[in-house]
Amino acid sequence: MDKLAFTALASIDNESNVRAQITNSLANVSTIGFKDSFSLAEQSIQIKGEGINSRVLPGMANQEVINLSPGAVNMTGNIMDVALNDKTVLGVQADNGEVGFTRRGDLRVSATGLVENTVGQLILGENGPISVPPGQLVSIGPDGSVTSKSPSDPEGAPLNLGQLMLRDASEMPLIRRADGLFQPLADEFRGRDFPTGPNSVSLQSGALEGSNVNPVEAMIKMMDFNRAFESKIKIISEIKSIDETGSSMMRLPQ
Amino acid sequence: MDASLWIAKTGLTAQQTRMQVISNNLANVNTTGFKKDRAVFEDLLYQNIVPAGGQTDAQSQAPTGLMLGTGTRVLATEKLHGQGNVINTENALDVAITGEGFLSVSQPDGTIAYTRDGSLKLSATGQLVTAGGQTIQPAITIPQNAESITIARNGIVTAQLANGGGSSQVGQINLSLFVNNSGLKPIGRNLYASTEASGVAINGLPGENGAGILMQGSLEASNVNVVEEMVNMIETQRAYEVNSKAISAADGMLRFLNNNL
Repeated sequence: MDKLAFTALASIDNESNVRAQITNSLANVSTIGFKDSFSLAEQSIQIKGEGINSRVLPGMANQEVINLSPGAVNMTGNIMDVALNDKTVLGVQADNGEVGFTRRGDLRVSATGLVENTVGQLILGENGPISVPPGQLVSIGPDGSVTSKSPSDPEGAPLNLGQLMLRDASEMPLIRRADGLFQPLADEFRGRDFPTGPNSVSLQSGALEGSNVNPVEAMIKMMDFNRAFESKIKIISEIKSIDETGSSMMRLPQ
Repeated sequence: MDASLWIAKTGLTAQQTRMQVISNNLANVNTTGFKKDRAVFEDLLYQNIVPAGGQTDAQSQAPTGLMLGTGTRVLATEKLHGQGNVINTENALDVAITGEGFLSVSQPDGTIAYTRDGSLKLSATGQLVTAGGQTIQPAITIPQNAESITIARNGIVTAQLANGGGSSQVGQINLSLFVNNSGLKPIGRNLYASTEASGVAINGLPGENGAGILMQGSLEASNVNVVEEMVNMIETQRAYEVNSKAISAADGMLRFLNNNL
């Protein structure tokens, strides 16, 4: 069999990952604060050996960096909902105790009085988790400061509860963790806090950021891969017929 | 089979669930004291195809990893306990809670449930009950010869007795507060049950320690915003469509494969 079939197969194999990623983006078109990743790139790997240089196999290049472009912001009016501005990310505690970052802003107060997000991840403050006394009206300022007031004394001085761990990721590329949270690309900050970038961090309370998946772009990419898949299958079926022709020529006359 | 088929399937299932949530919100647009739900979406775990920092050859390492997502799911439905509009009914036994807090009622099995529905009635024995017949806790009995009933903002219930009998205080309506209102479990009939996530009820007097106040002659309407739900419905429908397109694309590819090889 001609080796061309395997070159086409390698391409189909690699692209199935890309298609899975595009479909994952489409499936998460309604996930709060979901961020698309920059699309995967393919690189060519040349196999050197005998014969002419016709075998250049596609291989997957590792280029998964979170695309922090903003998603559509919806006003919900819920005081515990925050939408992060620009490239601000919010620090949360991952299940394994490490620091992860997210753009999810649907916060709530847990049964133990700590601020967490709806997924149940503990929100980190600059000085550890933020505790809310029962019955207090919480408000989150644009700089990430969490304050509360007693509803029976709305004129009173607000009680300072803490400061959300907000970081500017404009100069720190982020990559994904297996649990969907983000972590800094730089080795020394993996699973930990990282120094904030030059831009100021800010948020908007009473609003939620949706997913930044562009369904039109994803659909067009999918069509593109669809047709590329078909042409590679065509190559394989051509090889098959060439092979069949070859073997029928070699057949001894009856 | 193709991984993207199953990833797109998770998208369809999640959007279907969200549609149910929206339909339930719209169906309860006139339910007294109803609080709208929101479907909470979460991305599923990622598969680590190439670990970040893995060796690509003897000298160089992969700068970033390759994580493949496996789809989405609806993690939970979250009740949004925003204040509903207060509607004036001029019925003496209707009370609206403005602010935090729930009325506590006793269930037939002896447990306590919580409600925001303040359309109270009198039972055959003169006790204050909800429209569903559950007795308000602590129980308040209105005397037979009461001419009118006053429920103060701080929950004190006073009955004016007939034939110049004067007025007498017959009870006190308490409000129950929770650390995490969203953790309450809706059990139907406008009632909620406390859970581990909501924390235990903190009973207090209306207007004190963060509890809301009572407004007699009013009811709290549903906090469902019809326009918002309609927009959500359109969004859900379109998201469903793109996911079904992804399935039909993967299906088309597999069909092409089967027909041509």
